[in-house]
Amino acid sequence: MSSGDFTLLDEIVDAAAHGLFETVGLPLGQVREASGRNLQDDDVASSIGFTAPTLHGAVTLVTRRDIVARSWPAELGKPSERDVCDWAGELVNQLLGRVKNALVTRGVALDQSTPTVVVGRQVHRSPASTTVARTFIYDVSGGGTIQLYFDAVVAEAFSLSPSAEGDPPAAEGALRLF
Amino acid sequence: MKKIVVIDDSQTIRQQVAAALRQAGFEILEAVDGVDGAEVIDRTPDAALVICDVNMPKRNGLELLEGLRRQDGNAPPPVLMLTTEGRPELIERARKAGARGWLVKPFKSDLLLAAVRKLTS
Repeated sequence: MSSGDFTLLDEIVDAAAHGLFETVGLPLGQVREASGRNLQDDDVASSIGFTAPTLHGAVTLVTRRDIVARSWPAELGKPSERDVCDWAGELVNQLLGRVKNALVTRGVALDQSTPTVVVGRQVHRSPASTTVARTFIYDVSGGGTIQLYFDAVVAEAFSLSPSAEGDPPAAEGALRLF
Repeated sequence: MKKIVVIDDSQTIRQQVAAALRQAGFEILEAVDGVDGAEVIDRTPDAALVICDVNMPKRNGLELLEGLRRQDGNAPPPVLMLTTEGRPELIERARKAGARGWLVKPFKSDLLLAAVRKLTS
């Protein structure tokens, strides 16, 4: 994996995060350094696994439940705790969906698991030992932070092609009728 | 009232779909995974449409779709896939298995409703 691939992967994950949270009404600030942040009150994590022949790992979101609740679909009223946990899982699912659709245009097709959600006190991710362990920390509109982790084991053969041949993936929100 | 089966492991997505379609006069039946979805479809022979996720526990939506196609007797209801997946090969697999549409999450309610009206008319 080249440094260019690292940079491109970071850009893809960052764009996916901004696109997703903009859509759900919770715009993110620019990704920032870890220093000075307070993780003590994070109380929910949602994670989803992915695999491809040359890449496998997981994407994880860590934040507070009240922040997740702020992005809950307004038309559904006030969310219960169960709703918030389900929504945290759906957010990481949709985030990975965006990453997948970007990677497939670069010649990497990911399969995925279904999401897992964990709640507790002072939830945090231990340092990862994977080939790729990228951390993205965002300040959230209205206060608080969202931490995004992209952890993956990468085969030597992994690379992101300039652009894949064939049809592009269907974009988020797109409808095709047959 | 036309019946629509909504199959998704996310309760939130099921609620979003149900809220949009109930307002428009549809009756919603929910299922939480591919196995549950097949059972709900089996006991709802008058379903006008199935809205189905792809990545789900127990049985994914494409396997469910392909299983519907293999059933003898009554023709299965039309199926609209609703998923984060956008890969062309998956869309083509669904089309070949008999799906009538593919909508990528996150969805806009008016677009979903337009698709549902077209597929149930």
